[in-house]
Amino acid sequence: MTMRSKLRLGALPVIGVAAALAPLFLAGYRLVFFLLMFLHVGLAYSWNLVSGFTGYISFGHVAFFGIGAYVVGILSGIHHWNWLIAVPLAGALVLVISLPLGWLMLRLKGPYFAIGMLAVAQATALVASLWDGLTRGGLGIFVSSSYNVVGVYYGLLIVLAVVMGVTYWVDNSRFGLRLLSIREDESAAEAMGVDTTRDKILAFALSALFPGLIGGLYAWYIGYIDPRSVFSLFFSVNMILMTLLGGAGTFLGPLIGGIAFTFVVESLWVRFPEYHLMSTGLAVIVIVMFIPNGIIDVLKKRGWLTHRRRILTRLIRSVETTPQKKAEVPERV
Amino acid sequence: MSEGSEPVLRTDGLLKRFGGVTAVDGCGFEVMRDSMTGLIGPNGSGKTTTFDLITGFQRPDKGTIYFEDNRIDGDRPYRIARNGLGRTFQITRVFPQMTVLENLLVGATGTELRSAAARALHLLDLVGLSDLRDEFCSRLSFGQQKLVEMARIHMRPQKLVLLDEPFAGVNPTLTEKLVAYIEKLRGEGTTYLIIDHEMKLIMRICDRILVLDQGKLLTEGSPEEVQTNSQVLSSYFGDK
Ligand SMILES: Nc1ncnc2c1ncn2[C@@H]1O[C@H](COP(=O)(O)OP(=O)(O)O)[C@@H](O)[C@H]1O
Ligand SMILES: [Mg+2]
Repeated sequence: MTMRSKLRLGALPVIGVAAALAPLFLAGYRLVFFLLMFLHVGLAYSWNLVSGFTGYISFGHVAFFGIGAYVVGILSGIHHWNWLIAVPLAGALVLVISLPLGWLMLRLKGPYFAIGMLAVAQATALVASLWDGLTRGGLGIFVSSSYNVVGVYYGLLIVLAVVMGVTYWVDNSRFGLRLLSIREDESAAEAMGVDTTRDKILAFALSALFPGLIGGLYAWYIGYIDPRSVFSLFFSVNMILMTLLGGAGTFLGPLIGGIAFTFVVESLWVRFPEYHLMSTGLAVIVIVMFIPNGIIDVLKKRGWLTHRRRILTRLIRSVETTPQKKAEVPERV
Repeated sequence: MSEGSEPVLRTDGLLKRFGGVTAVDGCGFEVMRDSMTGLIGPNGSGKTTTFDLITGFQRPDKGTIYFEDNRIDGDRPYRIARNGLGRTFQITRVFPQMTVLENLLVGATGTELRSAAARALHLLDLVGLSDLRDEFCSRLSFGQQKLVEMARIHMRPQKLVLLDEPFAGVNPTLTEKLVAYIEKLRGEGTTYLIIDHEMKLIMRICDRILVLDQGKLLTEGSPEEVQTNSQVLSSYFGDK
């Protein structure tokens, strides 16, 4: 890692502290703006863990978000549990569901997985609508009568810090290299000794856990949920959009994409909601055509960021300093 | 190099059907430890499928495969790989959006990281790719990708390496280089089973040859023995 990128990454904890102090200075819409930014960026990071690193593009990640929202809706809204207990339970339930679901779905490849996940999301939305004994169906649930901005702000900040930490670890670990090798060529990875099934399921579960938590926090924040709002296809599409915009399968990509996305959404879409659908479609086309590897790739090409992984850099340096016998056949091809 | 007396790989009565096609038809053979064995046969004779069966990418309909003393037919590919049975594919399959060094480290999955890194540096030096170690593989030439693949497969201590047409589409200079690397790495105690079309090359570098035809083992023996069986061979290979 170069001095420059070290400085840049070192800025993250500083920004984190500033974010933790922000509620002392900000209130009202300004605080909500950051709350929404954490929500978006957190969702982008979650999606990136499985789809960015392994290349299994999920169109249905809203399922985990929606389930998380409903766990908090049912526990806190209907049964009046403390949200601080309900939110972790939402994450736990989603995690438990994600293991067998991942085992099942990750047998599908490419577009079949993508569409399969879309079907999963539709199915969970349907369950939320039809199982009205549990979920109150289309009536929805009033989760909270108060507006819980500061608590949720901190909740989302913590979730975001954790999912970023996890991503940083993945991006600098052998686990991450294995996930990337699955994205690149799954059979070749398997032939190299990668337990592709296990690694994919692990990435899938990690990538489901955080939307579960975020969905739970969202329910507590927004105060009212129904199947249409928390299982909206837009959540899935936005996760894809933000991650592709920033750069999939990288550490900083979801951050950059998520922040850019939040500014666009909050400044434009809120004013012109009728163009939401059209502009989303346009954005996808523009990204895929002009920056297929995201903003981060542009930055790397300009030399503003390096792609060397910390684990490799450190390791190679330590190996190189210990004397090595030179091999023969030095000719180059 | 002297041939060991015991087989490292033993297949018996292997059968694999794809719909109406019988790709491998009751194939049984042994690969002796420390040998360089060639697997030849006309296009579609079931060579690649045989590799797929041995490495777990296809499950045999019938038959058994023993690797050393373990029965491995039906095992998951990654398990077989971790036991020291490596393979390459007929088409070059590097990980394009990963660097050369990252490619090599994935090849050492399941081994200790520090020694894997040392091994990677050693192999990159051997094949002359040290300067390109942080380059993405997508930016390498075909020949360089071949070298990455060759280095990557040797990242773990292999007992047996299956190479599926490693010289296909490769110019004569590079072919000689690849052969030299194989000869060199062979000294580390690895056995090779090599598929190739170039009869002359296979006859030169292998000490033992298996001839496959329509999924059956047609004949086997030393290059000389197989060559004298030329009536049979010429009908499949013409005069190459
Ligand atoms: N996955 C598959 N599905 C259907 N047929 C296959 C498959 N793999 C191989 N075959 C058929 O099996 C036969 C043997 O193929 P292969 O093992 O690739 O031969 P070789 O490598 O000797 O050229 C061919 O007829 C081929 O068409
Ligand atoms: Mg073949």
